[in-house]
Amino acid sequence: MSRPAVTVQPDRGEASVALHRIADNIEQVVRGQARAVRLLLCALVSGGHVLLEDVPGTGKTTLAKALARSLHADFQRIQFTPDLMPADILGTSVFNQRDQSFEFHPGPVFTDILLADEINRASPRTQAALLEAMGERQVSLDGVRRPLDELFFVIATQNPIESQGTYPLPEAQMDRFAMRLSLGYVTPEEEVEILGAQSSGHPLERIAPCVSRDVVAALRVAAEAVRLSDEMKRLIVDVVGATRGASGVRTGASPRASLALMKCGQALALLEGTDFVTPEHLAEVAVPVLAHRIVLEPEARFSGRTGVSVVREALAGRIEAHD
Amino acid sequence: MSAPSASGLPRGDGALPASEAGAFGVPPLALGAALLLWAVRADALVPGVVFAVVVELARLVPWRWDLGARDFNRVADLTGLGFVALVVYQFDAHSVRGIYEVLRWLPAVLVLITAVQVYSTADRVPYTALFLSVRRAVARGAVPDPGTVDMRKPFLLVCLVSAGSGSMDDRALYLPAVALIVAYVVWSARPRRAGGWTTAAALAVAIALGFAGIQGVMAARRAIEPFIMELVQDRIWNYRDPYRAYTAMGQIGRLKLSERIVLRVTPAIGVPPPGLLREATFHNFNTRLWLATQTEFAALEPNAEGTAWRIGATPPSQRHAMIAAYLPRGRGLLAVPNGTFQVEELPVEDLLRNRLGVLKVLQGPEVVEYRARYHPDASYDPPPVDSDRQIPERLRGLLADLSTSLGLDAARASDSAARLQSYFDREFRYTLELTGPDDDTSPLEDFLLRSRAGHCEYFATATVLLLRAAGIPARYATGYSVQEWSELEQAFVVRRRHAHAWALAWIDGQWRDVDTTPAVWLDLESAGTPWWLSGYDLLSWLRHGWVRWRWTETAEGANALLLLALVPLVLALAWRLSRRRRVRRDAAPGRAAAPARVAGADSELLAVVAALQARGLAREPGEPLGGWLGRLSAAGALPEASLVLDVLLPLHRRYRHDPGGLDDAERTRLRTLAAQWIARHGTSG
Repeated sequence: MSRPAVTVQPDRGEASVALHRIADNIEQVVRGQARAVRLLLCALVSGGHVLLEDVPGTGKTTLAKALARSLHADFQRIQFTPDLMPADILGTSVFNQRDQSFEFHPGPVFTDILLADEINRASPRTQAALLEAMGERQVSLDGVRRPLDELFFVIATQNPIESQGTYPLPEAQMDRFAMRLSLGYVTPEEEVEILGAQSSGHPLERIAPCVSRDVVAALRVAAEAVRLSDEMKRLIVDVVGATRGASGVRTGASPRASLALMKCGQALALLEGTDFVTPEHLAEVAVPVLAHRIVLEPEARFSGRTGVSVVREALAGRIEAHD
Repeated sequence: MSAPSASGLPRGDGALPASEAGAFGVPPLALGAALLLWAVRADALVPGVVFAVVVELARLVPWRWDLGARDFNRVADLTGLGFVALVVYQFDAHSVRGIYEVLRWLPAVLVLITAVQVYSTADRVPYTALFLSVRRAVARGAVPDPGTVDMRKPFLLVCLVSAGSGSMDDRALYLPAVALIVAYVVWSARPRRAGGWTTAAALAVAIALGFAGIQGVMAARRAIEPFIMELVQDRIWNYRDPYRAYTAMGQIGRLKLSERIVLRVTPAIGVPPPGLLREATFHNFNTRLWLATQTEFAALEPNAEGTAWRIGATPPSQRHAMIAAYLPRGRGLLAVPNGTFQVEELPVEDLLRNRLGVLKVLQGPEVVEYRARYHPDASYDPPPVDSDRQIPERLRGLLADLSTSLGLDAARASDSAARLQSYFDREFRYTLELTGPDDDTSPLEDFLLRSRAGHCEYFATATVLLLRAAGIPARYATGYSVQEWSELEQAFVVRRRHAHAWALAWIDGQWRDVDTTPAVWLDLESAGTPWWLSGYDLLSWLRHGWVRWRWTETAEGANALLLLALVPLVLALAWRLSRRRRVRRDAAPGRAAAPARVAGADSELLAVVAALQARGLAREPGEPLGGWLGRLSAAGALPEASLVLDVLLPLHRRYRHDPGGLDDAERTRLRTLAAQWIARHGTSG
């Protein structure tokens, strides 16, 4: 696997500074979402994709756009609809009369940051096309494999309150997202601030890139170098394993989830400026990384149990045991 | 988030309990009200008031106990012991009714752990304290966080239920009071989005449904109770009162018949069984009651072995029959044929007899088998006295007229009895339908003059009184008619529905059975034989065999039996203990073997953590150490917060989780600073 030449090789302190700079930049636009921004950056650095599950109007698109602008990265947005076809995402080959040859017109997936809005509105076939691209970081079309951009980062959104006319993502596909986040409503004070900031043009117009997109690749390398003790590996495996045997759970989190938990923990450690992973890091990312991968029995679901509660129970006792 | 969550806060330093009426909390004074209601209903005013004051006073006192899981375990164990003691005591004192008494006193047992909870810094009691199984599961590591329960809620429920276990007479107080308390609790916990009117309406509907449900349960109870009573009365039926016999004369309805087998009669081979087995004899009649007045029992003298009692001289010819009977609680009347002159093989202490010839056992086994030797045409009952000739004032005219018109005559007593028999056979009808007189005529008048239909008690009573009107001494006898041969048991079985009443007449210097009930009665009564009878009889036979075997064992044998029953219990206990020990033994090497090296497990910050936990500073399940310390610091509960958070914690983190570890200087720093912190704050909590 070839890696592009890394122009910047930040040490831990610099990495943390760079990440905080991005976070501050985004927070100029997206107010009151410090936690979500933090986790979003974790996912970006860990190389995973993010599923934002929230009601409309909470700033999902703005968040994605602000991230793209801060990185000076390409940004594409696809609004998912029931009639969206795989070719609308991946691209298509068009016959060029003049050259008597097929010419590939890349789809919006060939970008750095992709916002897949309301991903559950498209048919499963289209969803699968995107999710495959996410997993493989490449697109196979007409027998030609076309690699995606190294930075390629998908922020998919999903509206949890509408269920009519939607195709819920299959459980197997949920596993492809490193994290599921929800933004939630901001406090009234922050909302007042948002109103004030919007009175003279959208603040999104005003923010400037603060790091080059190469920095992200360097951050990913730096995150992989964050140290992880055997005890922490054991903790990851214990917590993920506990979700499998928990009551009311049909399918627990997979080994891919363990991997994602580890990478996100490392990314968070990098963000915090420490060069090793602690239980705090794992506890913070465990719910966004694991909860959406857990498939509950219908009875458990109807009695109010959620993936979040399963993960919290898996953490209880285990985190304390590794003080 | 600026406000710290309540559970991590120390309550010991003067802080009042956090808001009590949480989403599902118990609002102020609800517990006290429930306890007072219990006090009134359970007739426990003083303890109830004391408990109520103790539980509610917790809201005013500024201090709290610091209790850990182990303290709760102890309190819960004590409560459990109290409960066991209560159960043992109440069941010993009240037998089956003890269950009501246990229910009645349950709040007194549970108040301890509830009070400990409300006076402790913990808001809730861990499940580990309440359930041994949870304790085991936690020890095993199967349940990382077993959770906690707010004891006030179950306790409130127990108080209300317990208050309801009293008599249902003053439901007027109980139900509205319960409705009020429950409504108060539910109201204070209503969802924020529900409007007041919606909640009130829903509450009203729920209460109305509750009341309707109670009415339904009461109706069901009224319907079921007679059946249950019949079952229960099986236990007391056999103890027939030798002094009075209430008849069903004058009642309305239908006599209930029971298939229960009460006697088993095995006559000598080739000899018919005695037709009637008499249990009791009475001589004074009073509207619908037969009495045996001035008939003290006197002990009969047994033979040398103490198992045979002679009642009269041995006649030239005799018959004998083995009779098996139940004596509930070891006492009762013996059913024997008329003309019994000796009772043998009876394993009882004393046999008593009164001057009407009734035999009574005061102390014996619950099942007896005895041989009655009798002469079918003789009687050994003492001769008649004045009261055997008396007729109630009111019936005298009627009976005299009837007796004359039937041509009854004391000189021809035997003939008179036969006349009466054919008269009743001809003119009267046997029925189990009870139709009482509609005016104030006595039941007997109604029977003789109007309805001319009734059951054996009518026939027997009329016969006795008509004989007396003719000057023939007569008595009223109750007992059983022996009819049914059981192939299964190879014996005659006597069922409850074979119970019978008849007359004894003094004929030719002997008391003779005069049964004037039309013979059709047996056919009528067996007409309703239920389909399950054969199965029932089989069970009845097995039960009889079991009871007889149990009672023929010697006392030591019975004890040995009890011991034998204890063996599986002891084994089960031993097995559990051995298993438990095994779990512990396994656990220790397992823990040592799991991670090869727990780096930095000797970090001194862990001692700081222990000191903080000893102060009762609770930690959310799954809360990381750093998050918890930060929260304590924000709440002002962490002494020297900057030292702990900025120096000790980072050092500890690196020592524990950084594969790089600490160098010697840093290691020493961690050790010294933590020791200093503990020296300053460790023991003061």
